Amino acid sequence: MKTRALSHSGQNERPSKRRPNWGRILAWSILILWIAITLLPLWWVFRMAFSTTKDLLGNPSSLLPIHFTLDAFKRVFGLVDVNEIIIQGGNVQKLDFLLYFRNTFTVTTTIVFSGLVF
Amino acid sequence: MLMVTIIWMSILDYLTGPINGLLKEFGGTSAIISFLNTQNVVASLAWINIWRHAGYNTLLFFAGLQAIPNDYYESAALDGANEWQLFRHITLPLLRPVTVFVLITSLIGSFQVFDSAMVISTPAGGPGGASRVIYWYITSLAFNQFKMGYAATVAVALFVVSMLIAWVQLRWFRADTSDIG
Repeated sequence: MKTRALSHSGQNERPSKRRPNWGRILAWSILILWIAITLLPLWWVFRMAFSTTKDLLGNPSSLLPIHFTLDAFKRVFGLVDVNEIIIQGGNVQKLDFLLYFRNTFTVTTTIVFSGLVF
Repeated sequence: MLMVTIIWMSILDYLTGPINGLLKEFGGTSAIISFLNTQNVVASLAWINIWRHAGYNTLLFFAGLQAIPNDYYESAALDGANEWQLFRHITLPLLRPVTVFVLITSLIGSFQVFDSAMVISTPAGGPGGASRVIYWYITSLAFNQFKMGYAATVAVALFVVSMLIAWVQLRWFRADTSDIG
């Protein structure tokens, strides 16, 4: 019975090496499409982070960042003064990412330690 | 979930989203679909929740697939079954517990959609737009109209309906028996 099973599986392997297996190609293309759809919002956020604010409205359909710039990052870390913010066209409010991160860190460590100890 | 909804709202945007940008390039300006108007907002809400839960359900099905012993496939292939028959007569029946679980949790979870519905209906004219889900009704009764008793009644009715649906599904799929082993 064992040798019969082995020879049977050997016969099955030969055809799928030579001609393309259309079912497998279809399955892989559907999977790749779904992966692209799943990762689209993540890529969209990255693209918005690295583009200038004015160009976001101008070129809606380009998938790459427009005029790759780090201005948004500078503004979030609080390194840009008020006049520059008005020029870039954002909400006139100084952001301080490190303060927010410190607050989140405090809350998180408190919760984790309390959960471990009590 | 809030951030996911906001990101998808900016992707599905009428003028600045990439989907409409692609449609505009291939079909002209008349081919743009407005995803967030009062007719289409429910479909967009459904799509966002599908996108969010697809990975989790795929993982559950994958775990269920691992539990099927390989001997069944080998013996069926020896008897001369092709791939479709293998799928329909071995994989689907043996995935029945996982399918029941995914269906019940998806159905009951979809009754409880609330945060994405509240966020997505802001440009479409407030929650009085087309995306009034039942949880919105409960919170609006309780906190806007201050009819707390009525809101509690609606919540209990939702509970009874969910329980009925779960019970019907459990009975229909015969979830207490499994074909493995």
